Amino acid sequence: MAKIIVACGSGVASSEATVGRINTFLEEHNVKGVQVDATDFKQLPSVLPDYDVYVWIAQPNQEIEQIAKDHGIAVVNGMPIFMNVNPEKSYKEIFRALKAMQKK
Amino acid sequence: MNYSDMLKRDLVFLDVDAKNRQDLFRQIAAKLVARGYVKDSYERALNQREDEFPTGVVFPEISVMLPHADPQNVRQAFLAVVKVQKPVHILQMGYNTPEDAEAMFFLGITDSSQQVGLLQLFTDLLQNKQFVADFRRIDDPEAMYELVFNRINQ
Repeated sequence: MAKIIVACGSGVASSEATVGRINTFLEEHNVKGVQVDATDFKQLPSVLPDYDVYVWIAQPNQEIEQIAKDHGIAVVNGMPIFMNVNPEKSYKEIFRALKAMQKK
Repeated sequence: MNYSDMLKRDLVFLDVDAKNRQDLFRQIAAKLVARGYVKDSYERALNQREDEFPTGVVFPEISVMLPHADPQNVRQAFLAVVKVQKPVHILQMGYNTPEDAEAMFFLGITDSSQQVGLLQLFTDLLQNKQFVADFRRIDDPEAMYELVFNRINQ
């Protein structure tokens, strides 16, 4: 199963709201078998390696960027999704990452 | 959950004179503590969270801020609606770039799974031209309560 992680500062508000939007988008586009989770920045370094796509709504630091790079995790700007302002580019990047996974 | 329950008649402040972000947080935190919505730890937690992870959001129609602290600092879920006399200089969520915010929606979250829908609803509302025009025009707290209540109750 493909796994997407959304991380904000506290993991309680903006990340959960963004997870809601991504789930709605996936349902509307009939995409199944994708798990979308929210977390906070404290947990992120330990859980990130388990995921395929990392959606940030708090600026990723160097440690996080390095983990994503080392594990081949796609990094996507989640702010347009959270705000719901021109989110198409970010959704496309998520789609592209999910498709690339299927080929593996 | 009916999100309009989080909106409180005693938490609409439309003429706040704040020197800066810290001053704004001090004033709003004092009101929230006095009314029993948050614990004494709230102001510190709010500042700490904002320093680490800013909550400013620039929508095409309006620049706002969505300050929130971790649930353990909150006694009762709430949404406080704030307008400031002069924009407050803050940073944007995600990008950490500067912003001058003219309105703040303080979110008191106790149970994230129940209450984050409100955040989705709000991000959509803040892109609604008519809502933003009404929001800017209204300076009476009771009228503002009615405006927001009717929008989130739909």
